Amino acid sequence: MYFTKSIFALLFALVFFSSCEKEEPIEPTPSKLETMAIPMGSDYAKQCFFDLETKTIVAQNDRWSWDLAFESSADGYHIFLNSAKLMYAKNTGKKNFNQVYSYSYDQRTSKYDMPSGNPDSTAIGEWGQKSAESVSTYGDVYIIDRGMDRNNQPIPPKKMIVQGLSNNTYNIRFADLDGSNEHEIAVPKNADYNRIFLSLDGAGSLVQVEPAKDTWDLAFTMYTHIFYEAPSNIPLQVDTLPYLVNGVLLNQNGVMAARDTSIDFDSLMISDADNFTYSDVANTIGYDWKSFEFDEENYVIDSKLHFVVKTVEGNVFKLRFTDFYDEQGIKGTPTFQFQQLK
Amino acid sequence: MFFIGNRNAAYRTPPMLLRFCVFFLLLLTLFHARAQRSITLTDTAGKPVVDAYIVLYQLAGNGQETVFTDNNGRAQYALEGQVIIEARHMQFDLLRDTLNQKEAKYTLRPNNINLSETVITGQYMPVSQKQSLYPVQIIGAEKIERRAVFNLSGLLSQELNIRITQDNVLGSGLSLMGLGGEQVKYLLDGVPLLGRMNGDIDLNQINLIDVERIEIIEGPVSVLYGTNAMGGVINIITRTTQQQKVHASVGTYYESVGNYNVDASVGFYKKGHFLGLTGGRNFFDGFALNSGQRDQDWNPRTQYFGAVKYGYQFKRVRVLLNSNILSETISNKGNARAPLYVSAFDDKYNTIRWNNSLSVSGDLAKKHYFNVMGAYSFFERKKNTYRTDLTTLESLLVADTLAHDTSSFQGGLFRGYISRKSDIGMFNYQVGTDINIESGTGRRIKDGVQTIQDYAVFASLKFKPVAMLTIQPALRWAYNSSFKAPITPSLNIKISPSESWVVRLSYARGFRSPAIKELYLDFFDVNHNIYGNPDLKAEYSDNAMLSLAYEWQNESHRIKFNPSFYYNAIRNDIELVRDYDTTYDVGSAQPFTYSNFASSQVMGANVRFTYSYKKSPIVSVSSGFNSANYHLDENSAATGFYFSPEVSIDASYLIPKALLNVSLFYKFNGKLNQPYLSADATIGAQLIEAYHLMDITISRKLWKDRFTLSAGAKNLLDVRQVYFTGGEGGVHSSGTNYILMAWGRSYFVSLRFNFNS
Repeated sequence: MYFTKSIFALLFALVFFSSCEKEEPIEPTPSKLETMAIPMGSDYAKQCFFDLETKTIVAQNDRWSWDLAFESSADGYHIFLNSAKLMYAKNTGKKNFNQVYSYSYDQRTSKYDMPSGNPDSTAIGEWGQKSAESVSTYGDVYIIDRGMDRNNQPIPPKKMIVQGLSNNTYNIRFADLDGSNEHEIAVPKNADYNRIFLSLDGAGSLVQVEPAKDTWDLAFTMYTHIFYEAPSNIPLQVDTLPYLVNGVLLNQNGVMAARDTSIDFDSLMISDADNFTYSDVANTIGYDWKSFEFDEENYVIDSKLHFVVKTVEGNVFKLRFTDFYDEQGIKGTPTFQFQQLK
Repeated sequence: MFFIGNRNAAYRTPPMLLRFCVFFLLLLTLFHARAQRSITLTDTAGKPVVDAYIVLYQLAGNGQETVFTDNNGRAQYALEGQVIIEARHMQFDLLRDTLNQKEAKYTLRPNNINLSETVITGQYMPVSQKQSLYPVQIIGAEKIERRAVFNLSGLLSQELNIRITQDNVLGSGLSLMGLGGEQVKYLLDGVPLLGRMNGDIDLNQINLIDVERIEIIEGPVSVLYGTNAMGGVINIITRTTQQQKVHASVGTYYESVGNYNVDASVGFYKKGHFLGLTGGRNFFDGFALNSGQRDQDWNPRTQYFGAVKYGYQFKRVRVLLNSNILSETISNKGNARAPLYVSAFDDKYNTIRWNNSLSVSGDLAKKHYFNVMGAYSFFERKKNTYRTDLTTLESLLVADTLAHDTSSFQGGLFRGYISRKSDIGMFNYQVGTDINIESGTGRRIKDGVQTIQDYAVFASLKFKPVAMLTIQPALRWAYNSSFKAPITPSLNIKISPSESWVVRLSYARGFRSPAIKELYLDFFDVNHNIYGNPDLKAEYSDNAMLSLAYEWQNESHRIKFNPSFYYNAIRNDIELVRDYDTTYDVGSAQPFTYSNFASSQVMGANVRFTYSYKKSPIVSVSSGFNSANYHLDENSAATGFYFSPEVSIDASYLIPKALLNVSLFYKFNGKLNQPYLSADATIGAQLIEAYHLMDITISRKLWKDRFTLSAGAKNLLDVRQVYFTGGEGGVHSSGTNYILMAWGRSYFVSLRFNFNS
């Protein structure tokens, strides 16, 4: 009987005491790599400009703080939209500023900047006739759709004429569609910068966004990516699908990058990096080092994909992303490891 | 013996003094316990029959009295003179006699109806299974014990016409006769269960501790139970009284896959008062097909549950207060995240179910039975996401509102009916009302909260022109605050040509109201653009059924044979479809909405056969098929009928010398077409492979029946995933071509201690 009792006691004890979730901690992996986290906010509000050599965020700003960016190099004259808020522009073809008072989205004439950052692929495009370092305007009235605000609501558009570029200064005339709030503003170039930034709020104002062009390598920002394969069952005859993505753009001042999935990141050496093909296309690093997994409902890092970056100063770094979340689990903090190879 | 006596004997007016004396005596009787005479009832073994219900009629005069027997089988009454006694008890034949003595003793004959064969679901009053107009399937406590299961999902997986489906997060759902769980009404002691997260209830959350029996009506019972009851009703009935003064029970259960369960209950009974307390904990540590990963195919879950019941029998009226609660935590661990594998996202789902009801039922005057119930139910499900640092195992709640979600439902119910129940008259009737108010809150519900009110009345007429024929037409009319409620008719016919045969014929209309989510969902973000459709109509079905029941028994053998056939046409099926009428911004997600869309026909046939020899062996074999045909509208192509067979076996044998009870359970689920609606709104076939489930349990009672020790093997054939061909596997396909069915073979041992006094 004692034996039977013991068995019963054991059975009870087994169920009472052995039933809890158990898990053992794992050892942290030692790493000599540098790790950097870029906190952009869970709504990806910040644009951050990062320098690999000094391992610092050189400058950062709110992505809704500006609308237009003007090429600042001696012979540059292109105007970029703030693609971090899904802006587009439309050339109305009209020359009379007061004749333009309404607009509608049109697949053919409403254009987004290309994510490549190439000046020949801007939505505003060739707005005038260039001669030497001046540009005389064609006088077209543009609709500037200012994209989406912080709450994902459309920002009322402006109409705009680029009146010209002379003496290293752009001249802009803009107003609400009904003609109110009409202002003119001068945007002077500065050779230390890639671009000069303008906000169309109120009377218009110049905004400090990018730091001096020799001081940074990578911009962490939202930008508009153009997808070319719309799902076949979309009734609208779209052949492109502009979409806001979170990613990394290269400084268009000579920074180059290569993508690689063939070599193990830890063993990647300068000898491997020398064989890669480098590109200065702005979105070479881009956004697709992460993807949203519907099953797990979170962003997953592509663990095979990594990059080699040649910086403004000519150094070579390898870089891979390790996370898109901060240590509190909030998204919008791209985290990466990097190591100088040369 | 019956109606003999001196009913016509003349009385002379007594003298004044005598009259005064009689009045005084009468007063005395009123002030003293009027118990001057008594009846004692015993069964054939001499044990007292408790809670028998006795009606006494004064032979001379209009006096009438109702009493119940106590724990000694004794009932006292005050009527004087010769009385007619009618004693009723579920387990015994009706006793009628005329008596005049002070102390009378009777032995009741067992009526060969097992207590568990009494049914209440859909009835005028509690009746035997055989008397019911609906074919009601019963799963009794005895079978639940032999199956060694602890929740509804485990129990129903072996039942004919039922298929269980599994979801890692949403839990277990079912289909009944080819209809999904959203088209099945679940009642817990008559109160509808809330918390349909994706149309269905998580059956793992429905505990079977303290359950007396489960009644299943296959086919629509919407006339009585309204929405969802178009595929059938599953009514879980818990113990609400007991015969012993004190009854206590403690049970433990261990299953090798990782189940550790403990429960305890105690009940007290005294003079018509019953108080019952139940509590327990179920723990499951999760299961993964491939070991070594954090993300498990079967998530760990911990449940705590408890119930308080108070019942009081007052003459022929029974009052019952019932409150039960369940708290569950499912932890859905994420895999270690690439490329460093040092952190993971873990989701925790906390569910609370709380049901409260007060019901009063019993006899109203002589010929009526009434049942009134008020209930309040609460359901809440919270999802929280944590980031776990795998180097320290520190878990931090993610401070992002989008990572968390709370859905809650509250339901108020008032339900009452009155039936004329006399089994003699040609016409009997039932009228009742069913008021349901349900509100849902959640981040994705339009305006945060929505309420649906449904006011219904129902009536039926039971027409019995001859003894062997019963015809019962019924109608339900309802007003619903959110959509136009349909008028629901039904017609049930029961023919009993002989003692052994019962033939049941029925036509019934069933319906399912659009759920709060389907009417008012508002789910809009970067990846989703899904909204409810407030113009939805109810889904409805027309169901025809023929069921035959044959029963034969002598002293040692008993045979039951029950073939049935059904045809069910379902219309206005609500589906989530791409909305082509709504334009949407370039760059945002495509709009989806709910629409009355598909229709289907399901037909099937079943045969249930049970043979028993005395107490053992008992063998039940049931088999059937159902076949479904789906199409979208009149013009589009149908999938065609696809026949899917099923076999279910339940065999038990009591090894006499060892006193071991051995049970074998087997279920074959044939290849099934589970069509899916693709994103471009066409129906595609998806064939799920056949599979077999088999359990063996052995149990033995020990120490004067105080302990029951059971052990056995579940899922002997080691079924884990079942493969399917065709189909997309859902909107966000993960590319797998199997569905999770079970966690493979596992062994269990369970021990239960019972104490009575």
